[in-house]
Amino acid sequence: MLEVRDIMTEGVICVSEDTPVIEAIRLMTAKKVTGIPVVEDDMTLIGILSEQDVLRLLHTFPDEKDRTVSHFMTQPAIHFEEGERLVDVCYCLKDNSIRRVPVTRHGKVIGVISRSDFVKCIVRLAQEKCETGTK
Amino acid sequence: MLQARDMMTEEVICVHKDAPISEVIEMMVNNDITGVPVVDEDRTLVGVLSEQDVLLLFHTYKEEGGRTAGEFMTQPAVHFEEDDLLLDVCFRLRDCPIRRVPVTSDGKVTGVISRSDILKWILQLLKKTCCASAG
Repeated sequence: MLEVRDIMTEGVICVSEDTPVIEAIRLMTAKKVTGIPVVEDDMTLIGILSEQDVLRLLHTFPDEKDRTVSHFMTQPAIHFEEGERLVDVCYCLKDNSIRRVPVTRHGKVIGVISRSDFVKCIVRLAQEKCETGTK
Repeated sequence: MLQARDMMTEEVICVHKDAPISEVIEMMVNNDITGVPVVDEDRTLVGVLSEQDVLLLFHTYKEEGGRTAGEFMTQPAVHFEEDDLLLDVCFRLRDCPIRRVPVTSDGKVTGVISRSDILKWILQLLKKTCCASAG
């Protein structure tokens, strides 16, 4: 049975609560991610900042541009430990309005798994099917 | 007042409703996109296919992998005409669980606006604010 650790992305970009929100947005744009885990110094997960959380800045910009991530993040963040089942993550990402979940080991962020990771997996499944010649 | 056409990306990849789903998801991965407008022969919008729509193929690929885009897409698709107010597009992307909306002209797809586009716009606002205060 495939586990979370099998398709997660490691080396995940994180921010702290005190990171200026504009810096977090720059990171999201530069790294082409749609959400970033928010962590303590020791990588303990405390929340998540997604595109949806910051969209309001388009019209609150004058008042909120100097604020930190803490004013925008969602908490608690839905997350999975590395040994949990991939199928459970799949249903979570399908049934909720979330694109990605942080992956933790004893509460500390070690990776992230997103809808895109599942879609890439499906492409590999499709290619394997072609190679084995099954119909 | 800004309109949808002022922010939309015009080079938008679309897929035909009869396109094999395996080809569509491979195209999404290769082009790094999370959703695609589904159109008919004359580019009339008929639906939108997103990662969320295909996620369950992760374990149903054997049975469902031979299907077409039209069988997975969401319809009707939330969309805006080119001359709709940009603010209305932004509110929709903020308040609804959708990352992108096709933009149409007489029902035919001419562009797309995503949450990423709005984030880039927010960063532009910062540049203008800084220039204004420096000048």
